[in-house]
Amino acid sequence: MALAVLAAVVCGGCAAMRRSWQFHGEPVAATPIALSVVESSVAQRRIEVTLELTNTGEEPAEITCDQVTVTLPDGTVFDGELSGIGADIGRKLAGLGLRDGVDKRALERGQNTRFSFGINQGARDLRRFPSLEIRLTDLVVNGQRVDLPAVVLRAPPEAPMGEDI
Amino acid sequence: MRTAAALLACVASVSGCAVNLSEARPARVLRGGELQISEINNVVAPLGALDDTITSAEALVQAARDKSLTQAQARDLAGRAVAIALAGPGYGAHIDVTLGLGYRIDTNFRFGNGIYALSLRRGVDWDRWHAGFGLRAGYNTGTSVIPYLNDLNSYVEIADTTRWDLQAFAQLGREFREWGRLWLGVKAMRSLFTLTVDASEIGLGRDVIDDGMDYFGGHIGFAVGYRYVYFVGELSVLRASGSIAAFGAERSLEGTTVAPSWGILGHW
Repeated sequence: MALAVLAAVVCGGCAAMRRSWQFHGEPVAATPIALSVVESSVAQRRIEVTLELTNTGEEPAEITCDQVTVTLPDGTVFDGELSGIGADIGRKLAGLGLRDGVDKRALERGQNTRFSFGINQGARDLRRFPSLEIRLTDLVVNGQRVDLPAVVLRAPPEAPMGEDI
Repeated sequence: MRTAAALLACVASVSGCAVNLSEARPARVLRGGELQISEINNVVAPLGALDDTITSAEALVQAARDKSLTQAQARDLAGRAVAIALAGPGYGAHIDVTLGLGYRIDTNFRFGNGIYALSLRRGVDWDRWHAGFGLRAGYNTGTSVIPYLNDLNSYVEIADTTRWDLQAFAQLGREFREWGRLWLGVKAMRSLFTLTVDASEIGLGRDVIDDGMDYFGGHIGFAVGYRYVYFVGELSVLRASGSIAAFGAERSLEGTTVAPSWGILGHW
C-alpha cells in the first residue's frame, strides 16, 4: 500500500522531478549589436546560457561587458554568485581573443561570436518561473553604452510552473 | 567488579537494537529531482537505562557466581534485560537515500542496522529559512552488529524481536549559500514491539512481550561542506516513556536518551 502511494506520488511528480529544462528566447538587437540565444539550460539552482553576439553595424565593434543579471518575473534580480570564468563575459571575450585588458580587439562587421556563462543561486527554484530576463547591464560598444533589450528566456510549455512545485 | 565493567562495556558496544532516532539531514525539503545520499553513524546513550545496565550486569555476575537469585530478583533481572534490549545503549550506522518528488515533497528510504524505514516530508520555504514536516514508518528487525549481549543471553535470552517505529517530525533550518546548513527539530516516535524472553536459566520460563513505548524530543544539527558533499553532525535528546510487563513484574522504560549522529552527505 505504501509502495503504491509512493509510486503514485513519484509518477505524479515526474515532470516536477526533471532536474533541468531547456528555455528558449527570441533574438534582441540594438545598433550595432544583435544577440540571440543558442542554448539555455535552467536547473533549480543554476542557469547556463550560451549567447551569440553579432556585429550588425558598419564598423568593427570593440565590445566590453562585465556584468550579467537574471531578473525573475517578481522583480528579483540575481547578479551575484557568478561562477567560473564563463560567468565573466569580459574575461570570456578576452579568452576568445576579442578583448584583453591592454589591447582590445574588435568584432568585425557581420562577424559573430558565442559566449557562455552560468549563474548559481540557492534560494529560488529557477525552473519554476515561466520567464527569466537576461540583461547585459554594462554593455559598451566602441566606448558607447548600449541599452540592449533584455533577452527573455521562456520555459517550455510542458514545464510545471510555480515555486510550490 | 572488573567482570561487571567488562560486561557493561560489552553492553554499551553491542546492544541497542533500535537506532532509528536521528534525522541527520537539513530542513529544506528537496526540490523535484534533487537527490541526497548519506551515511550516518549513530550512538544511542539512554541515561536512565544505563544505570539499569550497570545494576543488571552486577546482578548477573553475582548470579553467575552463586546462583542465589530469588524469584523476585530473577523477575527483576529478566525485566532489566528486556529494558536493556529495548532502550539500552548502542550504536549503528544507516544509509539514507532522499529523493525530491516535486510539489515540495521528498521521500526518504533508510536502511542499515536492521532498520528499513520510509518517510515522506512536506516543505515550506522562505528566502533563507526552510521548514519541513513529515512522517516515517520503520520496520526494525531488532538485530544489532553482533547478537545481543552473548553473556547476558546465557541467562536471559531475548529473541524474535520485531519493532515498528512510527515517527512524526518537524524541522526548521537555514542554509548558508552552498557551504553550510543548520537545523533544529522535534520528533515524536511510537515504537511497537514484540519479543520473546527466555529466562529458563534463572527459573522463569518463557514470556512473549507485545507492547509499545514512546519517544519525544528534539534535535539540532549542522552540515558543513561545499555544494555536493557535506559533513553532517546532529545531537538528538529524547525522553523515552513506557513500561513492559514480563513474568508478572512491570519494568519502566522511562529515561532520557541522548543520541549523537554524524556522517557524510552527498547532494546532487
